[in-house]
Amino acid sequence: MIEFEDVSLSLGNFALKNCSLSIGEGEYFVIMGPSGAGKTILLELIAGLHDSDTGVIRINGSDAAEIPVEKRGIAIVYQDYALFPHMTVEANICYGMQRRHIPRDEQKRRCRELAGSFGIAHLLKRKPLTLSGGEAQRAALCRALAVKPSILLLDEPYSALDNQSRKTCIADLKKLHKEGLTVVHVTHSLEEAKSLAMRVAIIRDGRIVVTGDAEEVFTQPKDEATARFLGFENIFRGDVIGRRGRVCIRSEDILLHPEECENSFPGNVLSADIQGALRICTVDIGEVLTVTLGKREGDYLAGSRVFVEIPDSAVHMI
Amino acid sequence: MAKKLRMNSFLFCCALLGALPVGLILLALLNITLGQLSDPEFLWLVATESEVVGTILLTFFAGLCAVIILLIVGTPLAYLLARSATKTAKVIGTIIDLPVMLPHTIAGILVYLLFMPNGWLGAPFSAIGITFQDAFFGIVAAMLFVATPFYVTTVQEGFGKVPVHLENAARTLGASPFTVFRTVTLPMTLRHISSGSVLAWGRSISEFSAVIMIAYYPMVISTLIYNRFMTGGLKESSAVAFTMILACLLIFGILRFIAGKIGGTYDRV
Repeated sequence: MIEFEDVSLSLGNFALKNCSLSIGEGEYFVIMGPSGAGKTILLELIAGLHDSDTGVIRINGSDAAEIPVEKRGIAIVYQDYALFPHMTVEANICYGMQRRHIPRDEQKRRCRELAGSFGIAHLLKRKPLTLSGGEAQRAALCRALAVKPSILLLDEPYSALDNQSRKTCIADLKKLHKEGLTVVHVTHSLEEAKSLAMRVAIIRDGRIVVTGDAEEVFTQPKDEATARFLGFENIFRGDVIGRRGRVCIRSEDILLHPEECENSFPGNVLSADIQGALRICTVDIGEVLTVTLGKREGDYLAGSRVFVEIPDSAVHMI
Repeated sequence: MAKKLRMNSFLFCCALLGALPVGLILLALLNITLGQLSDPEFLWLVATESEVVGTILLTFFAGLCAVIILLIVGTPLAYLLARSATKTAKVIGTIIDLPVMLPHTIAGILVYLLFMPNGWLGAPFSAIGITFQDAFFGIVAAMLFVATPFYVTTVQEGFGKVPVHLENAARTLGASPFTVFRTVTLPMTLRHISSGSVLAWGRSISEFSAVIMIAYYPMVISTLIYNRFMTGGLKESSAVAFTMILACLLIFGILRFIAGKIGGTYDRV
C-alpha cells in the first residue's frame, strides 16, 4: 500500500537518509524513535507535505509524487490535534466533507454519527480551545475519519493525554483498525507501540534501523542502542554457551528468590525503589542487574541477600 | 483576559515613568482643546469651511485607497514572507522596511522621481492618461510608499502565528492551497489584518513630506494645515488641526471598536 524506496530528504539541519519500508493494507504500523529522529517528517512524506530529494514513494502502486496532497485520501492527526480554532468542533469535523462537496445533510449526519461513536456529540457546538486534551484528540480523530481516509497517520497522538484518556483512545484505535483501516502511528512510547503495533520500524538519526514484525522487533533487538531504546535495562558483554556478544535481559524477566534454587546466582540488593505498583531493585551478582518486581513479589530491601534466577527465555544475544 | 494587576514597587516605578508619555499627549490635547473652546464661533467657522471638510474627506479617502491596494497586494506578500525562511525573503523583508527608516522627504523624492511625468512609472502611466504630479493618484502613491511596511510587517506577524501544521492538516483533508488560505489561514489572521489596515491608514493620512513632493495640490490635511500656518497664522491652522483631531478620534475610535470584534487571538492553538 505504501512503499518507500531509498527515500532521502534534507530539511535545514535535519536529514532523512535512504529510508526504505513497506506498509501493507490493513496494517497497524508503528514508527518509533527518540525525539528528533525524523518520525514526523516520515509521516509528512507519506501525506505528501514534503517532496523527497531522492528515492521513490509509492502509494497503491503509483508514484506518490504525481498525487497532490489533497487527492491522496490520507488523513493525519497531529500531536497537538491541529483543530482549526476559529471553527466549532462540528465545522472542524465537516471540513473535509465540505471540500469533497458532500451534501450538507449527509455531512451533518456523518458528523453526528462519528461524534456519537466517540462520545463527543455534546461538544459539537464548542470551539476547540475550550476542549480538554482527550476531547480535542477525539475531535481531531473524528475530523480525520469523516473523509473516510484509506490511510490514517497519527503523529504522537497521545503524548499530551492523561493516562485515563490515553487508555480510552488506544481502545478507539484498536477498534478502527479492526474495521480494516490502515494506520501509521508515530510514537516514542514503548507501551503504546506494544499494545497497538502489528509491524514496527525504529528510526534513529534519520535512518530506519529496524523494520519487522512487532513481536520480533521487541523481543530480538539487533543492536545495543535498539535494545536500550526497547527497554532492555541489563546489557552485558559476555559468552552464552560459546557465543560471544552482548547479553540483553529485560528487568521484568528476572526473578528474585529469598532461598537458593536451581540455576540461581547469589547476590546482594543494592537499592530498592518503589515506583507506583512496581519495585525496582539493583542487585549485585558480580555484575549489577536491574530487576523490576511487582510490589507484592517479595519485600526486598537494600542490603538483603537474594538469589537471582534468569530464565533461558529472558536472555537475548546480540 | 483583563487581569487585575497587583501593585508592587516595580510596577509603581513603571507607572511613574509611563505617565510621562501619556501625560505629554494628554497635555497637548488639553492645551489645544481649551484654546479652541475659548473661541467656539471661530472654530465652527473653520470646521465647516468647505475647503477644510473637503480636504479631510480627500485625505481619508486617499488613505483608504492606499489601504485597499495594500490589502490586495500586501496580504499575499506578507504570507510569502511569513512562510519563507530563505535569504531572499529576509532581503525582501528589509527592503519593505526601508521606508520606515528613511526620512520622509527622501521618501518623497523617491516617489517623485519614479512617478513624475517623465519618471520610470510616471511616463507610461501618463501615456494612458493617468498623472501623479499634483494629482490624487500622486497622493495615493506617496501614502502607499510610506504605509506599506506598517501593513506588511503586522500581517506577516499574524500569518507567522498560524501554525503550518494546521494548514497541513487542512491540505490532507482535501483543501487546495488557496482553499486552505481562504478557510484557515485568513480567518485566523483577521485581527492582524484589521490592525495592520488601521495602522497603514493612520500612517497614510498623517503623511506630509512625501505627499507634498509629488502633490502639493490637491491638498491633504497636513498640507492644508501647513499652508494655513504659513498664510493665516497659528490661530487658523490650529483650528483646522483641532477639527482633524476630532475627525481622527471619531474614526479611529469606531475602527478600534470594530477591530476588537473581528477575529480572535489564537495564541494557544
